[in-house]
Amino acid sequence: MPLYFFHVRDGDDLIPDQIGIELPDFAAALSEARAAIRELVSEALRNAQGVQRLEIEINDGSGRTLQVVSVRDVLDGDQT
Amino acid sequence: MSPVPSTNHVLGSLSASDLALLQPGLERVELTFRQELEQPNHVLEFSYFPDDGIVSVIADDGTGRSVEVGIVGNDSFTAQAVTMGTDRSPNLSLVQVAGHARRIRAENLRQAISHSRTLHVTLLASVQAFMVQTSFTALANGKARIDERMARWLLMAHDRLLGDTLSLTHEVLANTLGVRRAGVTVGLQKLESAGLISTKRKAIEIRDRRGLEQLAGEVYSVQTREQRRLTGWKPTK
Repeated sequence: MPLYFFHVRDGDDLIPDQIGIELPDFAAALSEARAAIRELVSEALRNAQGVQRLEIEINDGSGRTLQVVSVRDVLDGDQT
Repeated sequence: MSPVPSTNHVLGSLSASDLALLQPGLERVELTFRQELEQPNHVLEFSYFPDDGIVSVIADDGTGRSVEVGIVGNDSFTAQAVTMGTDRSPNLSLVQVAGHARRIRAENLRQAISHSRTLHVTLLASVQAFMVQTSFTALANGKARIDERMARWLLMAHDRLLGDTLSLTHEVLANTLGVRRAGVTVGLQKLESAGLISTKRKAIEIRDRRGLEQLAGEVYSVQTREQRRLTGWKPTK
């Protein structure tokens, strides 16, 4: 199964994922990123921290950015 | 008992006669990663008294949602439901860090308990300590920050394992804390930049115990103090 990396960005701060997660395909990686950002946003709000600049960068094994998921992408809930 | 002495605190705290009631039924076994020691609603077969390793006790709703409610290591034992007069529980017990244990058939444990009130009382003290631990898991899950919860869990694991380098993957931490991997990434980075831990590929090194204790605060210290009061067990690190 391919390895996907989920780097967390908060504005200028980058926290790299150095381990990665094995997932079946990109759709699964996107789903993971959306769930992750929802969780990070909830945690930040609970702690009275700002969430506007939170992002998850999905990278493949060669360091290429596949997609960036931001707070705004999850604010309207899931379409399905 | 095999030549290797047990390092389990509960077994070590028994009187000679109480230990003699369990001895014939105790066998030394390996605990392998992700081995299921208790399955939800299945009749409990064995009770394990770990010498090392970490067992996760997990509440699982059967629809894919689960959360760890407590851990058992060489401070305690599994299949605590047996000491409470029943033969099964809806909880899952899973080995999260491999190790070794002494195990005894549930039926033999039950028999031994029926012959000795002091044995029963000793076991119940550990059960009470475990209940207090789970109540603080509930408090931590509900009110604490992810880095505080992580500090708490790492301290608890450190208390039960040899050395300062714990064999834990990010995946294990995500499962025990019930968070996504990105949450683990963020939490570990916070602890590492504060100099409290050092992360390696499949291990976490504890560098500043006092710092971790300060960060975790009461959700670690109260349950630990109470466990010591009830059973005499105390972390040695």
